Amino acid sequence: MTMENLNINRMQDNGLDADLVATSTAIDELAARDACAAGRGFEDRLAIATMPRIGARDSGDEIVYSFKAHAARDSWVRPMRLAAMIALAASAGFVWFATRPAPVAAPVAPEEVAAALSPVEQDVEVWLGITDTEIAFARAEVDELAIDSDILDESLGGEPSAGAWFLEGESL
Amino acid sequence: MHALGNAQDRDSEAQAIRLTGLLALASRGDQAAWRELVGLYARRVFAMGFSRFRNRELAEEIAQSVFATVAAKLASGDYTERGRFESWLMRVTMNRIRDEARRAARQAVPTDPASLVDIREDGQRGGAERDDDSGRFLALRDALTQLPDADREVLMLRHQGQMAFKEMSELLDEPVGTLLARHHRALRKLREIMESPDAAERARRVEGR
Repeated sequence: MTMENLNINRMQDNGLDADLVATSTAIDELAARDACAAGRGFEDRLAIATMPRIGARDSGDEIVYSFKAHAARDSWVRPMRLAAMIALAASAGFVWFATRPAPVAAPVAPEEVAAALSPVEQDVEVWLGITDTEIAFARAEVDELAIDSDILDESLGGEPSAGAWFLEGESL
Repeated sequence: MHALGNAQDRDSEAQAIRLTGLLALASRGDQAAWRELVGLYARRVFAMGFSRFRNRELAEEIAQSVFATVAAKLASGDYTERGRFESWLMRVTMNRIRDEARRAARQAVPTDPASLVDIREDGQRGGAERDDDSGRFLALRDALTQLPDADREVLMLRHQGQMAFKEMSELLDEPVGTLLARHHRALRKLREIMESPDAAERARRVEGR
């Protein structure tokens, strides 16, 4: 605080009582000491420390400009980038498919093959045995049915055959 | 007296025009203008913080925070100078000091009242620094700490902030007459505190150290 300021303050404090003017002046002197407590070079330190803030608008403009440029470029770059990614993925897939190693069958021991086929062979033999017996039985049954049918036809004379009744849906 | 008044008016008008120019340049990122602006107000802002906390580092931190706020506001282009820059700057400072006082109050640890008296006498309350004040200034500082916050703020704005009553009126949104009365009352209270027997006893103890 300069002496000029102190004098101005005193002029403005003219309305104060004499004892209060002394107190007011004492506070002014105390304030001057407080201001000096900052030490030399305080203003420079402070100005330098806060300088980036004052220049913020210029850098802000640059940021806005670059953002706009980026946004404009995106309108045509983005689809091209997408297409390039798809083409790259397809090429990689094709190369992998073309150069992949051929599948190799694992060697199987003859004993294992024989063991796997053994139940099948047994089943076939069982089926063959069953079939012969069943065929002979069914053949005998068919023969007996044919004989019974002939006998029935003879006994009925001019009547239509039982097979015809059955086919025409009429009851005996 | 009338001629002196006219000269003062012309001075303040010239200062206002110069300040408007500096603010305009600084808001466009002019570093020289910003340096000059900081040079005009930095010590007043610092003195207010130092007067309140008696801590040099904290006062510097407050000043830096205040000017960072001002710089950001100017750079954003949102600030329009209407002759109230100083009031606004001091308002930012007062708010920052109040915030810091509240933060310090939250962190304060309850202590024996007798030891608090000793701390106040040392002028080292809240981690403040010992300085080379004479007994007279120590007694004055001691008396200031005993004032209510409202009275203390008026004195701080008037003396450490070097504000005119008109500017204080804009800042505190009170009529000039009210502020003159408040200032007068605050000085009277301060005087009474300094003349009280307790103060005299404390002054003797301080000088005897």
